[in-house]
Amino acid sequence: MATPERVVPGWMTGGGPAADIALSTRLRLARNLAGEPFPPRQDGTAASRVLQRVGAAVAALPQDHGAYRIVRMADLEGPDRQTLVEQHLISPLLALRATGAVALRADESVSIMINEEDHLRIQALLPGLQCAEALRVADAVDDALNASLEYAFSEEWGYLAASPANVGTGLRASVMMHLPGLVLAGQAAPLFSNLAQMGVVVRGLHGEGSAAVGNLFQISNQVSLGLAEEEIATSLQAIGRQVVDRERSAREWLFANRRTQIEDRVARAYGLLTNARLVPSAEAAALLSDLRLGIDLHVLPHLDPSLFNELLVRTRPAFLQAAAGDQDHPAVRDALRATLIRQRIAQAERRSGKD
Amino acid sequence: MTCDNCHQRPAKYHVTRVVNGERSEEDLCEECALQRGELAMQLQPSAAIHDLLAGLLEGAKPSLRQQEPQQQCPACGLARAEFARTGLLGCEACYTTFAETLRPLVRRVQGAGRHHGKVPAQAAAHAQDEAVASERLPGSAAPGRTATTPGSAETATARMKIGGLREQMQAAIAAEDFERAAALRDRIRALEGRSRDGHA
Repeated sequence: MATPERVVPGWMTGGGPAADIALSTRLRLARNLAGEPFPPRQDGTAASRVLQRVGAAVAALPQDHGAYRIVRMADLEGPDRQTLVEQHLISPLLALRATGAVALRADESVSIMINEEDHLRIQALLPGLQCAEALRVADAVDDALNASLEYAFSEEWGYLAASPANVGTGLRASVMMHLPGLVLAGQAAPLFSNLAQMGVVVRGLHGEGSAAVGNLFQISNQVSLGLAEEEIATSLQAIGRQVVDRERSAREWLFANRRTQIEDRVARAYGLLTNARLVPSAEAAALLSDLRLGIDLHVLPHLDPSLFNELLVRTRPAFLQAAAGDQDHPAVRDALRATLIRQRIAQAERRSGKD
Repeated sequence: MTCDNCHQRPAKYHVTRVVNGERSEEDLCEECALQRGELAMQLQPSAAIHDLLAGLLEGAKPSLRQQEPQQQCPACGLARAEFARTGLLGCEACYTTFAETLRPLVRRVQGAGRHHGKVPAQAAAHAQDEAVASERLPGSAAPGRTATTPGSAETATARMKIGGLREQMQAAIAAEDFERAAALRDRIRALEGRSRDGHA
């Protein structure tokens, strides 16, 4: 079985700074090996050579880097690849590449994608808002790999990437944020357009723009060239911090001025999630967002926030498809999703001693 | 082609599913694919950027075409037209081959033209060697930080070429075409000699 043993990867367990709003931080460094064509132009031989070289370099990592296992896309069934995507351990692009592979650290805080758009995408995944720490983690792996791999690099352009949009530091940091307060208060769209002017890209996780289903957004840096790695990480951290603060004040305002509406919203979501028999994917995302808001605002004080994170991952299609087995069909999936949500909420309530 | 689900919007994604050996295929538009959860949670941010880059290049094309009719990277064979289509480069040497095209493009996308971040240990060590070497050569201009590094495109081109020739040589040996293999070996040696000299 290629999927990680735990359903919820380490980065999504709900801890970390400002984790009530900033669910996770992901930072990746794009690297290519010197003397090898970039993945978009490599043939099968070149791809296996890169995989072999990177595999050897990963195996040679010092012991304090933790244990890695390498999973080749060719050895995985479609749903297993998709599950890795849903856990954010690999990108959708890697899942599509037959010559691709991923080296996963045992604690799942580091995933090294091999033969994605670049030879290497070194990703650090941490819970909460911690850009500087994510940089430190990815940087250490980068240094250790560079001890046995020579990278394509030029003084002018920095680390050379297949796309000129990634050249320079090869760094892209992104913070996944849950912003129901800003969306409900109508402040999300104007904030996002201001952020765009500051070189920050905002995109919805399950949809586009400020109408993203589930109020989940990825906030990331646009520019990878001309700034030092620390500057990029620090600036995204500061911006993330500001978004967190604004989300908090939006929630406070809503709770002070629209309390009944908020409580009604949360209660309806709770009612549907604990009773519905068919819950489609998009509806689950929207209701879970309301549920999480209720937990954060202590409208539902008996539920643990980590329940939300876990259900976010477990209600995704590939996860359910694996569970549905032979009978996989959208309606079967929706029924499975509804049952899973009811059971998990009931378990969480039993544990917290409610009823 | 229209979307198999809504039969209205144009299809953008081809979805192939294999469930227990049963294969099913459909063409979906972005909206339906998203709704069905066929597109993963994490959308590819770079996809849009490639299109943008390709678009910028497209806009600049007429004048560039006049300058360099069918420019191609000598190391990996990437043609300018293909870069214009995909927004992706083929190898490190492409950055030299297409440098004139890339500089304004990168400046527009990145807002900067020069790397100010981390330098890999391999290049840092080499830059130091160069500095030491230049001290030993009286009268030579100090080669500064822009001196040739192992990652520089000229040596990269040579390395890519050598890699390609080695493969051809192996193929020739396998086919017992030893005359051709010997000729390839001589070319490899010549290239290796040159790239070493370029470094010394």
